[in-house]
Amino acid sequence: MILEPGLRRRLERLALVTRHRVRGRWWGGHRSQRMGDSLDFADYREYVEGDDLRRVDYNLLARLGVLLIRLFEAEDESPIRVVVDRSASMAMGAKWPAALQVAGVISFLGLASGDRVQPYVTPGDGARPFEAGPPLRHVASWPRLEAWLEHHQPGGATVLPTVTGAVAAGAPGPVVLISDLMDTAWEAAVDRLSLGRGGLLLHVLDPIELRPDLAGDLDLVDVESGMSIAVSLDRDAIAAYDARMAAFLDAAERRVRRRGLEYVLAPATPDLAERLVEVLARRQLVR
Amino acid sequence: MSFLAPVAFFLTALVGPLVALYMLRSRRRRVVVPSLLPWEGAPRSVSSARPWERIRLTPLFLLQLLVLLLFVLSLARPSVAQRSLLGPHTVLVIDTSASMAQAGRFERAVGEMRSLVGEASEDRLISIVTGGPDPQVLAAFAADSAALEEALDELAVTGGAERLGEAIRLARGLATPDRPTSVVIFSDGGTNPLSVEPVAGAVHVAFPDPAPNVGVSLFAPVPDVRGVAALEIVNVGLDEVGVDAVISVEGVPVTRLRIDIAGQAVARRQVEVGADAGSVVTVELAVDDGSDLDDRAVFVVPSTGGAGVELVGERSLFLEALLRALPGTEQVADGGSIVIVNGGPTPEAAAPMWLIRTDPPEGVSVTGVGQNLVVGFQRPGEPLLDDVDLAGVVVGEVDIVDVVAAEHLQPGSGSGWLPLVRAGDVPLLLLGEVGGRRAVYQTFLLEHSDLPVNVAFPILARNIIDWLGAGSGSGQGADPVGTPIVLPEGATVVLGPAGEVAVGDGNLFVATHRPGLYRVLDAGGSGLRAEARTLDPSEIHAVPRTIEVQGTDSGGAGGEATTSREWVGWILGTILVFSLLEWWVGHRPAPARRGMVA
Repeated sequence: MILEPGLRRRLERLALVTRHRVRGRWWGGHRSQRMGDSLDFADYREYVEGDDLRRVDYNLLARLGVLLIRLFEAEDESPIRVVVDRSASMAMGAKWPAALQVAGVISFLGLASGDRVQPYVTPGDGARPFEAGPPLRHVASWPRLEAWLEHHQPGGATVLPTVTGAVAAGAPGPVVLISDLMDTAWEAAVDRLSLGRGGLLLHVLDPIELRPDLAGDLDLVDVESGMSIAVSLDRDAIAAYDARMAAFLDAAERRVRRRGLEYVLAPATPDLAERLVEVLARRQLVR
Repeated sequence: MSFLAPVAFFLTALVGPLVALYMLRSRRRRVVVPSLLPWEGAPRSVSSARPWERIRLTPLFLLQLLVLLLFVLSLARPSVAQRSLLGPHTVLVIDTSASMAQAGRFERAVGEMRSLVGEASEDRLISIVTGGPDPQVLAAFAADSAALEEALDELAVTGGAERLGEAIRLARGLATPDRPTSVVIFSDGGTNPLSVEPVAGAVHVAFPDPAPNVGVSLFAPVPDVRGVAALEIVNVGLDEVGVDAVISVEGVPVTRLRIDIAGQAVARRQVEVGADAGSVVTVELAVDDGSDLDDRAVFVVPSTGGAGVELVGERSLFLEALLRALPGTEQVADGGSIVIVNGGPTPEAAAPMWLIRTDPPEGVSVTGVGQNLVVGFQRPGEPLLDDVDLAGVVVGEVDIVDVVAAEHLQPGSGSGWLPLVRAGDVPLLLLGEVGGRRAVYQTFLLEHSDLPVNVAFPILARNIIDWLGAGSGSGQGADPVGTPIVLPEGATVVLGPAGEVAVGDGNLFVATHRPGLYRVLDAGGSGLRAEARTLDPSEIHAVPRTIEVQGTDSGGAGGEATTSREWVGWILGTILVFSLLEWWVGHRPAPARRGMVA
């Protein structure tokens, strides 16, 4: 079970907020880029042949002698695509359960908001760079989504820029990337993530990555590439690692924000889900 | 600083293996990480086939190196030469002769000894030997400062001359093979030269400050002149001194004299005291000088002016010649104040007796006969043996006797005899009492020895007769300090100049080393007898001198010897501190890392 029932009940009372007008195929809860049939007046325009005569503002016609059509706001859904990095590096420590939990929180919030949610995992099976899950809508679909997410296990190597580019270019709507960004091309992945309409990077790292408990002469082996380096770690080396990790996190956050996206560092701690909801609420991404 | 085990420095070679441990590349552990990206730039191990690498001077390595070097240093046992009087075992010899009473020497000596005994421990054992007229071991191998303090409390200056030679021999006897023994002598040098000088392996704490002193060197009844006392006062200082002398009879002043004495001079006076026999006559000098001990003298007026000696038993030409030769001694046919019994039965004790191989008196039993024995021991510090050397005197036939020893009399121990001269374990001359009167018991006849032809014989006889005469009230009126008191029947307490000492009746009281008056009391507190003891006059003239020592320092008060003090304890403590520091360096907590970005 990815989300506890208690947490789900809390999430049902929340809704995702979009900062831009959306353009969805289906009616939803977010202000759309087009005019629609809601009760919220938006604007006037000149009448053209074929317009619905019921929308003619006859009061204006009587007073001013102009024939104007009343326009109303439309509310569309905001389809959310949740991309979960399931490369082998995500298997280290508690990152994979944390990634599933983070993906569950975002997905459940989307479903509770009436949005369409489609999960992706990368790498996909076989030769495909990613695997797309079923597009789902309404919280009643949560068990299917949860089962689909739990069905996958981390392994293999991914090419994040390819995946984020492909997913972001697919359909309008925000893309949520859940990854440790342990990819040499992480900057390109972030850049291409911004091709969609908004987005969120949930940077999942294990506490042991933030505070490595290593010392002495070691052969460090990359879990994805299998490459290794021989290092001699002492306190100075660990301090240098700290500095590099801090620079990496700062660089990732700056790059994500520069692309108009949101960045959240999510250490894989037991209370991750609760803390994530707090962070999203503080940033007014949920209400 | 020196090292007691410098061979341990060979262990500094262990630095090599320690450095090697840090230079040798350890077998690297394989650790799988999510990515190598954060590790780019980490210090790389030498990736060639060389099994070593350049040493890294980490705090851990430096601390371990320091601990190793300190450990080697502690094994080398560094020590510093420290000037201290105390060694593993130190025998403190204190001179308790009368001259130490001058200029506060004795108090200073005891004060310095107190500071030393305060440092006593299992590593610094202390023994205390008195070097006065009767050398004794007061404490042996003591580590308890309190017990040593109590022993020091018992110390008192005496009126006799020091016997430092015997005291040093006693101190040497306390030496043990398992720990080095040093001897520290607290003395002003004394009047009797040591038999062996320089003294090897000793430290002399000297008291070189001279003290202008005026003292009574003689105060005694004039022989054959009733009611007149001879007074002799010595001025040791360089300046003329005016002295007021007050003479009292039974505590009542009868005469006051003003005597001016030039520097380094002696003033003699004959004083009419008009006292009856048995009265106590005292002279006190009112003078501010170096010692109070010799400013007072006392005697008990004898009943007669001389000694009438009665010879009983077998006739002896030696004894008859002796009595003719001794001044102040007259042979009487009957009723003598002193009786010499030469063989045969022991008569009733009507007077003090010199028993020469008579039937054994009470307290003596004959167990056999010895032949051809040589004198090998005479009791040290015994006034009866002053100026008497019996070494080598041969005795052809002697009664081997078993006596109740009275050397250390205890209350209620009954009659006792004090052996003065022995040949091996066989007593030859004993001091005691018969029928409540003084007695000297000789276990051989004069004709069976070469004693009568020895130069010491008339001196010994003079001393014996004087002692016996003092006991009968017909002697000199006062005996030298150290002369035992024969306690008459019923005596239980002797009240001395410095307090009272409980004793049993019928014993000898030997603790008479302080000059002054000793009153013998019965159980009801009534006085039975009074006897006076006089200070050794040679102590008044004693001039401080330095005892020549060999192998150690000698100097003024505070003379010091060199001992070594090890630093092992401090070094081990430092090792412990550095080990804890090393542990902390190796296990100190890492600083807090970044949390979730809010």
